Amino acid sequence: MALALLLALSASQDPAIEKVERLLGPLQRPLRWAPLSVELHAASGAWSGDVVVRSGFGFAVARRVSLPAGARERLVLPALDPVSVEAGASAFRVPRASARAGRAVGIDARLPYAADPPPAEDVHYVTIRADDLGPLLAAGFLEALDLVLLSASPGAPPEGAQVAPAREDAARAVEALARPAERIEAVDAAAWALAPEGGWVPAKRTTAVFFAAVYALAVFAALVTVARRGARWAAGTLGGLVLLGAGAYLLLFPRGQLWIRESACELAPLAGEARVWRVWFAGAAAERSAAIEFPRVVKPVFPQSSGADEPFTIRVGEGAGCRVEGLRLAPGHAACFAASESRPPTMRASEGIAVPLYRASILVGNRNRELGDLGPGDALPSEVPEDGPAPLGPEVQAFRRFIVTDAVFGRLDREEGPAEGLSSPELADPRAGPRFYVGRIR
Amino acid sequence: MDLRKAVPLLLAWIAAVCGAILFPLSESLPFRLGPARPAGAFVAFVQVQVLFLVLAWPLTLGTVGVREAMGRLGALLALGLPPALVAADVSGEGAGALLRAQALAASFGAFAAALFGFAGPAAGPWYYLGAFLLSAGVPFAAFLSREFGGPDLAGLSILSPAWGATRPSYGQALLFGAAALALLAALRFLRREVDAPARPG
Repeated sequence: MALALLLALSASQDPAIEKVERLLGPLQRPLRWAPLSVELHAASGAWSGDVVVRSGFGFAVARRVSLPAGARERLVLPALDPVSVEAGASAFRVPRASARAGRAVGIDARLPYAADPPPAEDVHYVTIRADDLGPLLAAGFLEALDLVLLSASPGAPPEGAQVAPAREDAARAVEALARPAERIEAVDAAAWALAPEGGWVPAKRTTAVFFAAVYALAVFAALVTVARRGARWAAGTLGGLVLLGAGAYLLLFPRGQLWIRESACELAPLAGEARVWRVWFAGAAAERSAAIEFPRVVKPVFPQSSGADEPFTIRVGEGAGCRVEGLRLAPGHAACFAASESRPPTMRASEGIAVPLYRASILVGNRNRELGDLGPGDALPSEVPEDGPAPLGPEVQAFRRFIVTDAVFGRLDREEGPAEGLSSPELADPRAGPRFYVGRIR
Repeated sequence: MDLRKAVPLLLAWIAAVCGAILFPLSESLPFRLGPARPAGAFVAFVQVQVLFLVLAWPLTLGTVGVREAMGRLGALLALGLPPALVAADVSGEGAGALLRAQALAASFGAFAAALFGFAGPAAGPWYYLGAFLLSAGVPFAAFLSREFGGPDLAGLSILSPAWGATRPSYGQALLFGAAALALLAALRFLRREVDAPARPG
C-alpha cells in the first residue's frame, strides 16, 4: 500500500524547466508572436500535464505533454509578450525583451553567413535553427520578422521569405526592405472595425423574425377560416397551430448562442506565395464561457492595450489548429482572433484579372480610383491621373495597412457564406464575409 | 367551451405576442423600432404578455362564465407558447425562466377571470384603478423612495405586475394564483354558477 502510494506520488512529480529561450532573441515586438523553446526534464518521474505560457495580455497558451521518467523534451510554443512558463508547480519567469529595431530579419542557420550577416543600419538579425524554421513559417509564428532569409525552398517561398544562398543576395534583400512588414497586431483598433454590431446571433435573429411573421399569419388565416366551421374545428385548429409552432421551433430554430464571423484578406505579391489573414470575431447573445476550435493557431486581437478582461487559454497541439477555452462572451462583448497562412494566390493582379473582383479600386502612386466590379480579362488602367474618393467600408478600414502602391483591391466574393473549420458545442452561426483581395500590380 | 367566440381575442393576442418578438429584432427590418439587445428580448416579450393579460384580457370578461374564461385563458397561453419558446431562446433563457414567466402570466389572467367572475362587470373601474396603482404606482413609489433616500422598496415588486414581469418569480405567481383560487372558492361558497356570467351589480 505504502509502495503504491509512493509510486503514485513519484509518477506525478513535476518536471524541471531546464531552459526557456526566446527564438527571436531579445527582439522587442510584443504585439506579434514571439515563439519560445522550452526544455523539460522529467527527472523525478513520469509526468503528464500542461506546459503553460502566460502572456502579459492576460491569456495563456497551453500544450499537453506526457514525459516518461527521465525523459527530456524540447517544445516550441507560440507566445505573445510572454511573462512566465509553467509546468505543474515548476515555473520560469521569462526575461523581458529589450532590443528595439526598425527592421528584423531572420536567417536560416544553415546559411554560410548566418554567423556574420551583411551589416545594415537599424536591422536586428535572428538566427533560426533549421528544424524550427519550416514549422514556424508554416504556422505564421515568425510574423515579428520583416524578412526571413532561406537557404532553399521546395516551392515558392512564403510571403515575407526569400531564398538568399549568398551573402550578396542577403545584402540586396535587406537593402530592399524599405519598412517593417504590416501585420494584424495583438492590439489593433483598426481590425475592430470589422466587429459586428448588436450582439445578436444573426441566424437566430433572422429565423425569429421569419417565425414570428409566419406564425402570426398562420394563426390569423386558420382562426378566421377553419376555426369558424364549428367548436371542434376551432379547438382542433388551435391545437394544430400550437403543435405546428412548437414543432417548427424544435426542428428549425438554430440552437446555441455563439456566433462567429470571419473576414479574410489575401495579399498577393508580384511573385511567391500569397499571405492570407483571417480575422474571426466571436460573440454570444447571452453570457457564456465558450470553447472554440479554430483551423489555425490564432492570435488574440484586443481593441486596447489592457488585453483580456478575463483570462482564457489557447490550447495548441501537433496540428495546425488550436482550441480556445474559457472564453468569456456576452452581448456587446465580442472577442477577436487572427491568424495568417501562406498559400498560392487566387490570382496575380500583375498578370491580369483572372477571377471576378467586386467593388474594386486601384491605387497608383498616391492616387486612388474606383473601378467597380471587374470580370476575368478586364484591363486595369496603367495610370490614375486624378485622385478619386477614398474607398469606404470596414474591410478597407481594417486592411488599409496592406494596400501599398501600386495595387488593385476589392472583394473576391459578392456575398457572405458559411465559415469553415470552426467548431464549438454552442456555435449557432459561423459565417464568413466576402474575402478581401489586395494584389500588387507593379 | 366554444373558441369561435374568442377568435377576436385570440387574434389580438397573437398580434401582441408576435409583435413582441419583432419589436426587439427590428434591426433586421427596413425600419428600426427602438434599441434592444438580445438579453432584453425575453423581458420585452413577458412584459407584453403580462400587460395584455392585465389590461386587455379583462375587457372580454364579465360577460362569460369563469369556466369559459379559464378555457380561453388556456387557449391564449397555449397559442403563445411557441413564440415564448423563441423569445426565451433568443435571449438565452432556460426552461426555468420560461416556466416562471408563463406561470406568472397565467396567474394574472386567472386572477382577473376569477375577480370578474365573482364581481361581474361592475368590478371593471375598481380593477383598472388597482391594476394602475400596482403596475405604475408601486414602481413610482420605489423610485421616489430611492431618490429621497428612503428605504429600498424592491420587495414590493411582488405586488406589481409590470415590475414583476421584468424578473418573473414563482412567489408572485403563487400570490396572484392563490388570490384567484380564493375568489373561486368564494364563488363556490356563495353557490354562484361558475358557468354563467356574474350578475351585473
